[in-house]
Amino acid sequence: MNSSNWRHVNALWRFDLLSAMRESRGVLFLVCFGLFWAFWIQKLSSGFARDLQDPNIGMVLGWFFDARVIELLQHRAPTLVTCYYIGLTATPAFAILAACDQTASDLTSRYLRFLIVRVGRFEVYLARFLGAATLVGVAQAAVGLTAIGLSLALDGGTRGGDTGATLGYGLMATLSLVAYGTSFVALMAMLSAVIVNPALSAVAGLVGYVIFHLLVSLASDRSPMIGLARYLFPSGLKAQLLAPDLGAMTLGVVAQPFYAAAFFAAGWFIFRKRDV
Amino acid sequence: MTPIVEVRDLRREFGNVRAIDGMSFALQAGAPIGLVGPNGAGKTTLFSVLCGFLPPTSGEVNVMGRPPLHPDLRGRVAILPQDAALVKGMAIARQLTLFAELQGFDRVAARREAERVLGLVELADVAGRSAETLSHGMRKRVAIAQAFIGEPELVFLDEPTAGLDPNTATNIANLIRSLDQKRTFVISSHNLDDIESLCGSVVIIDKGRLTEHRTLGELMARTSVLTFRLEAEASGEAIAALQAVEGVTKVERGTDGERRLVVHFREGDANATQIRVLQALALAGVAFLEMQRGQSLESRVRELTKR
Repeated sequence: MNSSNWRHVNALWRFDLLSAMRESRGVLFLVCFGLFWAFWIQKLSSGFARDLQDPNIGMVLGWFFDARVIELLQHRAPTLVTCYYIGLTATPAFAILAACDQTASDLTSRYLRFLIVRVGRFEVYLARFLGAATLVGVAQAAVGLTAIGLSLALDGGTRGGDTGATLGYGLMATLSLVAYGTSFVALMAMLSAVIVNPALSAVAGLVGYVIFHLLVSLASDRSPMIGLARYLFPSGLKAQLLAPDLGAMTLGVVAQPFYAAAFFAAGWFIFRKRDV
Repeated sequence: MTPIVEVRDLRREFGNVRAIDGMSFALQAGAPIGLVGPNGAGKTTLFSVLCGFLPPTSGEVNVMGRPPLHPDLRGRVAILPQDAALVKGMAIARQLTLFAELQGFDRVAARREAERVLGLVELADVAGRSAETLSHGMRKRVAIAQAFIGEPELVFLDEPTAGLDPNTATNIANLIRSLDQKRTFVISSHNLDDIESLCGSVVIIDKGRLTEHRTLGELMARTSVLTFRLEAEASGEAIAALQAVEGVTKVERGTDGERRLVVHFREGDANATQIRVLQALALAGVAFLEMQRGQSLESRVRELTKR
């Protein structure tokens, strides 16, 4: 990639972001994401997350939800942890929705024919990925930063709720949300190149993700080896991302670009050979 | 001189179907070149392979000495794809500006270039509208406009006038004529009148093979044939009467319902023979709507690709 290639990528990326704001796919994502977080931020503004540090409530929640969160709540600012946990859980669905059409419409509408006479396929593929990753990344970062603000306002006096710890953990959580979202955007880069239909890519991504996790969860009780299959998805490292220890969390964050690179490369391998 | 397009032993298969079956030809830069053939001849596949949209199964394609879509060809080759859609929700001027930016224009120059090419296709007044709010014909003209961004040396046009009203189609044909001194056009079209009026040479393909590649003059044998479009089918007696005319070598009738007659004659004393043919038609009571010296391209293509 030389400077001319990067200029092409930059032009396509800007155009992609602009069109995402005007197309149904981008608008649907922004509306759903905005409503979802407006609901949770309103709920969390009442300060109810502070009560989650109570071990009795935590035990009940741990039975329904993820036991790791209960441990995390004992060490970190509760509003921030609650936001972070909700964010991580919702990331696959939102990232899949936002990034389902990267190269799919280019192929189905044959818009790619207008592009590849002017730029290389890789530039198109990369720009589409960067466009979707920016959309999801900015949205995830906004959630992370809002969570830090809320936590600073509400979590004073709680365990892990002092300003320094909240800022440090909050920034790490924000980075984690962005990196985790980017891995799913890369997954969708691959799926959109394979399925060549934005809506079907989204359905395949969501349904595939749910079914895969259900099967792995059921099978891993019988064979721990099968349980290792969960690491095929970025969510396999959710335990590390939710660890109270920053070292383990860093490992979970650092591993995300490897997932992204693997999905991105697999998608490119398919896209580069597609007839247009 | 290096051919502007060179195809050697090209084959393209889709499963068991062989769409292009060992085709070889070379096109020289200059007057527009038509690419014609009946439905299913392999024209769309050939066009897609020439443009680099489809890879060949075997054989070789070179455009200006390079494989199609080679980075060296960017900005030098332009393509009007027949069925590619523009992005919805974005102003067409913004879309053309993107294409210009991708061809190396800076942002300000790209905007000006988008305005220029929209002016060429008389769409400057709808520059701010998005593609889905335009009529089919307007979208087609936008697609044509993008092929004229910059200074391409070779322009591939797939069905440039399909779906356009007669006035717009004429304007597009005139636009191509006005630009064909500066660049070479390769035009794939079912509209043989357009090909005949625009092109200097024609590549005819059928059943995935090259049938003819000749100049229009060579192909249409203008000097020794009269083609008539008749009011009604010619009777057997009328045909016999024409065959008896001195100088006439062959009389061909069109297919049923076509109401067409092609009269071949010896080249010497052509004017006198023509008068005798007209007299014979009058005597036989055959009325015609149109008479053409030579065969139309349509007739020749039909003749060459008769199945």
